[in-house]
Order: sequence, then structure tokens, then C-alpha cells
Amino acid sequence: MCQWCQEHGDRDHKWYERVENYMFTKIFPDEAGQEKAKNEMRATFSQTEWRYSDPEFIRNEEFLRDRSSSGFGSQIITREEMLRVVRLADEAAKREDSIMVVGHCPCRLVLEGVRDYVCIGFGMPVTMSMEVGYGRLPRGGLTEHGGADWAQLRKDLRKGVKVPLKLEEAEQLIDEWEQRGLWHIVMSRGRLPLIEAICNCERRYCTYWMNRFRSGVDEYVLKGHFVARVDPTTCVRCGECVAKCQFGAIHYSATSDNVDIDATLCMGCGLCHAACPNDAIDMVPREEIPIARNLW
Amino acid sequence: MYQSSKSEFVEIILDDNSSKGIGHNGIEITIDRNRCNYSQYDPTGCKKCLQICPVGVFNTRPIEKRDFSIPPKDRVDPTQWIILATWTDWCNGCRACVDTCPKGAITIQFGDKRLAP
Repeated sequence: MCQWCQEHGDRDHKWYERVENYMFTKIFPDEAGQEKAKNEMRATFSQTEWRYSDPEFIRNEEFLRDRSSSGFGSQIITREEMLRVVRLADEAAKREDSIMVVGHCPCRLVLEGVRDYVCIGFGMPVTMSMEVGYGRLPRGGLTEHGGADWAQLRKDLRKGVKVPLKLEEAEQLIDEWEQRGLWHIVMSRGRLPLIEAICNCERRYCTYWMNRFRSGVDEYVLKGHFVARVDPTTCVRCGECVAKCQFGAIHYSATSDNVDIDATLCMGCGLCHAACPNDAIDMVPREEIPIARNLW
Repeated sequence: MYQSSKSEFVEIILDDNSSKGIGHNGIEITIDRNRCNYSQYDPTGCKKCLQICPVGVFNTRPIEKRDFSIPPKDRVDPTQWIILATWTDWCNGCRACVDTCPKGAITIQFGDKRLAP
């Protein structure tokens, strides 16, 4: 069991499988409905960008540890889990009268200078990061490169226009992101166990990833509940999985003509499983692999 | 292979003319702010160094006003952005950013070597 499941899950459910963890009113019953509390939580998007891009913030290990213990946390999940997460979030949104939106990735904005619509925010009235959120994608594209109608978009957003994201649209988007080779994390941004967003990211652009692997604060992004395992009898050594893995866990050995997956390096994102044309890669629960059982 | 490694502290010196990241492993990346015309709100704006760097040394951020009589949340001007070399010590000296910058704004002191346009 991972740290978040021990603290926020129950016997049968992982922490992101409980619908209560998506509902602000359940987790913070005292604050719910108070406009002041909501406003305090809704840091504007530029403030979020600011915090993420602050070298003092992203380089300072003590500061990061402080923040992670104050309720920042995330975990890598597979595509199947992500579909379940979106369904749960949709249900919570209906019960709670909030909406889901797709927003752009703040890490990607500060590290690459591109607004890339790869995040889904839940419980919109109380979600911090997704002030610039849109249920529809600008001009049917995921990435805003040219930005011709972006000025209008921003004007609309300043007026407070928010277009809810439908469940079917969310599922479509998840497929697109999977094909682009982005791994998924489910995250809370400072108020664990309230799940506030899903991110789809690459190693290069993920601030949480950097917090873990460059600054050494592991709690920011935990490894997933599954580990990839290859079946050498059905594997045809096409190399699709090696191309997808961003964590360096998959290696091809030319001498033995084998594909090895290192369970200690596998983060459990499931990209190799989705990419494999022969279904030779299974996602096995982490508990079943002794060497990876306690690696989170 | 990935290991959880802590990078050394990088000092960032920012003044009106340049932003300079000083790593403790002998790497210094200086960006001339007079030459770099990066702007987040210009869609055709140049962000070549951000995109070309193989280890992701650079990041962007809005400029903070150093006037402490202003409350913290108003100190940021979201229309004025700059590029910083935050992960200076991860630089591998490939000089891709130096060569790609159209204004020649980036200079790197890479140990004994000086990488300049």
C-alpha cells in the first residue's frame, strides 16, 4: 500500500478510487459554501505560474519537503485507472454541483513556453490551478502554438466563462494523450486527500517529477500501483515499448534477443502496455512483485 | 538510469541587464536581457532555448517587483516575463542554446571553456 492509500484510502479502495476524495464538501465540510474560503483557495493562474517558475521554490529541497507535508501529492496511474478516475470525478461533480474543465499545464508553460491543454481539473469552483480552464479545445487542437484566437479566449476567460468538460470528451482526450505518449498522474495541489486534477505529462515538463528526481522529494509523485511485466513468449521484439518508456526501465538485449523491464525503475504508467501490439506486456499489481513491493 | 540525486544549489543573480545562473560545479549561464526579447504574450515570441535544451536548463517566469511595500500577491507583473537558467548545474555543454539563440544572448562558462556565440 502506498502512503496515500494508507492515509486516505480504505480497505477495498485506493485513495483515488473513493468518490469522497473528489468532493470538497465531504473533506472540508466547514469551509464549504463560504465564499471567502473559496476565494482564498482560488489562487489566480498567474500566481500559480509564478510559484512554479520560482527557482527558490523548485530548487529548495527543504521548502519542497515542507510543501509536500502540507498536502501536495500525486501518483502515477494507468490509462484504465484514469478512465475510472474521470468517471468518479464526474459523479462527484454531479453530486456537488461543480464542473470538470480542461486546462493547460502550468509546468509546461514555464518550462517550455507553450500552452498545452493536457490537464483536467475537477471540482472547478474550488480548484486552484484551473482558472484558465476550458471545456472545449481551441480550434480542435491540443496545443496552442499560433495563438491567433487566444486573445479572444483570454478575454472570455477573464469574464468568467467556463465551459464544462463532458465525460465523453474527457475519455476521448485521454485516448489522444495516451497516443501522444504522455503518462498520467492524479494529483492534489495542497489539500490532500482532495483530488483536484489529472495531469498528462512528459518527464521533461513535469515539475512534480523534478521535485522527485532532481530535488529528491519523493512524496511529490509516487510510483503507480502496477508494474509492467513482459511475456517473452508472445513478445516479437518490435521495440514499441522501448520507444514509449520515459523512465529508462525497458532495455533490449541484443545478445539474448530479449526485452527486459526493470521492476525497480518501472513507474507503472502503463504506456508500454498500451503500445504493445501483441499484448505481451501485463500490468501486474505492485504487491505481487517482491522487489518492487515497497518502492513507491 | 535514474537516481534520486540532489543537485547543488544554484545562485541566480538577476539585474536589469542580465540573468545569471551560477552552479557550484563551475557552470555559469548568462542571459543578456537586452538582447533576449522573450515575451509570453507574443505568440510568435522566440522560445528556442527553452525548447532545444536537452536537459531543460531554462525556465520562464514573470518578473517580481522588488518593492516590499507592495503586498506579495501584487508584486508579480504577469505581462513581463524573463528566461532564467534555473537548472544550471545540469548543463552538459552541448552549446545548442548558444547556437540556436537568434540574438546571441546566451553565454556559458562551462568549466574552463567559454561557450559564446
